[in-house]
Parts: sequence; structure tokens; C-alpha cells
Amino acid sequence: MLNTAEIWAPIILSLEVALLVVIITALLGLPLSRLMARGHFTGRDIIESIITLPLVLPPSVTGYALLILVSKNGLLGRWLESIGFPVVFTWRAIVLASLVVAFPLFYRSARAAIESVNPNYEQAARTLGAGELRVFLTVTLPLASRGIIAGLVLSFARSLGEFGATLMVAGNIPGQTQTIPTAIYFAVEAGHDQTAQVLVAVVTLISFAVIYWVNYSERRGIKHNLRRE
Amino acid sequence: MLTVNIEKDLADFRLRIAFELDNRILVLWGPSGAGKTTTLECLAGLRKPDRGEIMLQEQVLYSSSARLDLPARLRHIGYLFQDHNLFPHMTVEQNIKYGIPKIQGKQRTANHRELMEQFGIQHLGGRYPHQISGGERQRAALIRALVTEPRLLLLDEPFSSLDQQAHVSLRDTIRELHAQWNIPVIVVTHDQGDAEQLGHTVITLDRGAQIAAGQYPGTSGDNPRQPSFYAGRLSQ
Repeated sequence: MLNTAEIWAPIILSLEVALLVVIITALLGLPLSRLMARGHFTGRDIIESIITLPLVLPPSVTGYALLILVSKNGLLGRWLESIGFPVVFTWRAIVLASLVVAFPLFYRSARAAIESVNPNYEQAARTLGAGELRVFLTVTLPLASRGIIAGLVLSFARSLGEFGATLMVAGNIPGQTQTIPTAIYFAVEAGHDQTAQVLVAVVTLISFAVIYWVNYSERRGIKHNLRRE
Repeated sequence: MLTVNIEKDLADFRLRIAFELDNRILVLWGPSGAGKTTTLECLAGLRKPDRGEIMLQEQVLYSSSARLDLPARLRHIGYLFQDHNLFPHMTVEQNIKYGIPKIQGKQRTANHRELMEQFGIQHLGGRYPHQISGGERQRAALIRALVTEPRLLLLDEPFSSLDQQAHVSLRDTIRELHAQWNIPVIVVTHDQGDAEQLGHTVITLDRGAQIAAGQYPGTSGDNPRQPSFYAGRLSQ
């Protein structure tokens, strides 16, 4: 017997989290990508490595590191608890875990896109009286938009599929912190094959649509750029 | 009046350049890698010299002793790059309007539509840069620089990507607009014809050193005679 709440709750939670992750990623990631793409300062490579580390670390390691940070007796956790913002084993922990894991995907894509913008366009804008913010918003951002959007879409998809780190900091509380991937895992464990199959189908479909779109728009972008040059 | 006296250490040599320019056309001439573009970038505020001073109309734009380096956006200097001038994601008209100062009530001397008509590109406002010819692109970029009402115009090899006909036509346009606008203009070129046709004054740069400088006898520049130092450089 298929339990609809068992299916809908994780789908809605996962989509909500992924959307929030995309918004935070864009707000933090755009200024950071711009800084790293155009700035020259000492320690740049170290920062770069720290940001992209979760891309290659086992998710359980990332999860454990986050646990040390935000658990009730953790480095930040005690303070978060005291200001009434508990993180661990709440939906906030899912957002945090997904953010840390999905962020490097956006960052790499956005930084490469910003680096590929011919700096002469930015220089031209400055000689026309534009300040740095206007240069970024009206010249750099539109010219890098394909890579930036692709990065956002990839981080959305990655967030939707986050499993290991999420499980460690958020657990698997049905209706509270159960996302699509954790729901699938525990459905299979419990022998609820039908529930698992529906969730697998949903997440596969969304992921396929995302990756198809990214590939399609990249191919179109290449053609477009060739024509523009 | 533009007064320049700057030094900048580059990878292979030290660029040293000093000159004064009233409202005339100066040609910076020399082989590639001589420091011509770097000079323009220093003037526009896109690169910082190491030492010296730049003054334009009594205003200090750069001074190493006063630790002053006015950012490009506050210098009111028009800059035409060799290539990749117009923003590819904007139409010609959007490009041209990008630099129009947004100061209310200020009397505008430069009307972008009139300029587009004068330069013969009034019908191209809705097109994108990749849809028009190289000569039309340079004209549009020139108008875009002019509507900011620059106090100095810098042209970096403006003809390099143009065919012969567009080249001659743009050269005429530059002379025409100089007569009309009466501001100092600096043109970087390695073409002898351009130097002869455009330059009231010529500075020859080689590996950062100013190896020759001189003024044409005629101040109008309409029929300049070639000074001997210049002919000597060019015949090498």
C-alpha cells in the first residue's frame, strides 16, 4: 500500500531546501566568484581549495566536520542554541549540508564564466563612467549569465541529491528532516519498494531534466558565442 | 591642455614618456610592444604608472608624489580599444546610451541621435554589434565615447581591424570630429599614412623610450609636412 504522505513530505522538503540553497548560493557565490576571478591577493589558492574541498571529500567527512561545528556542544552549536537557532537535526541542518556540498559546483562554474568575459568590456564600461557595481551588474553578469545559470541549476540538482552529509547532521526524521535521498534509503531498508520506486523515478526525472537543459544550453551558448565573435 | 610625465616599469623595459598637448591630435607611433597601449591605459586610469604626474585641464589625474590616482570612471576620458569595444549583449543604441551622464538639468552638448546621423549609423540603433560591419562598430564605439563628453579622446589602433575603404572613411571622421569638438586626441598607430594624415604632433616610442618628438609646422594639420626626424624613423 502506497502511503502518499511518505512520498510527498520528502519531495516537498527536498525542493524547498534546494530552492533555498540556490538562493543562498547565488547571494554568497556571485560576489565571491567575482572576487576570485578578478582579484589578485595572497592566500587566494588556499581559499579556493577550501571552497572546492567538499567536491572531492567523502560526504560523510563533510558531514562529520559540520557535526563538530554545529552540534549542541559544537564550536558554533552552543552559541546557535543560545540564540534560539538550533541547527543540528532540523531542516536548517539539511540546508547547511546541501549548501556546503552544492556551493563548489556553482562557484567553479560561475568563476570560469566570469573569467571568460573579456576584461576590455569591463574596462570600456569604466571609461564610460560606470562604477564597479554597475560594471558587474550590466556587463560582467549578462556576459557570464550562461555559466552562472548553469552553475545554479547544477547546485540545485546536487542539493536535491545530497545524502551523506545530510544524514549525519540532520538525521532521518520523517516529516521533519527526511529528504528524497534519505527516504529512498530507509524505504528500501524497510522493504517499502513501491515508495522507493516512486521517489527514485521523481529524482531521476528532475535530475535528467536538469542535466539535459545544462548540456543543451551549453551547446547553444557555444554556437551563439561563435556568431558573436 | 594635457600634461604627461610618467614612468612605468614593464617586464622588459621602463616606459618613460613626457609631453604636453593642447587641443590637437597627437600620434603615438612605434613598433608593437613599445609601450603605446600602456601609455593610453595609464592616461585613462586603467593602469597605474609607477612615478610621475598626469594633468588634464588643471586637474591632477595622477600624481605619485601626492599619492593620487583618479579612477577611470571619474576622468572623463574617451577610450576606443583596438577591438572588442561594443558590449555584445546590447544593441548599438543601448551601447551608445551606456555612458550618458545621468545628471538632471545639465545642458547636453552631445545628442546621441544627432551623432548617429552625422556618422551615418542612425539606421543601426536596433542591431547588435555582431550584425554590423567593423567600420560601423568603430563609429558606434566612437559615438559612445563622445556622448560622455570626454575631455580627452584616446584611440588605440582604431583602424587595425578595418578594410581600406572603412579605414579611410574612419580617418576622415576622426579629423572631422576633432575639428568640431576641439579636444586633445591621442591616436596610437603603426601606419605611416595615418600618422601623416592625422598627427599634428608625433611621438615615436621604442621599447618605452621616447626616441623622437616634434610638431608639424602647420598647426591646422590639414596639410602637414613631414619633419625630417620623423621621415628618418619611418624609412628605417
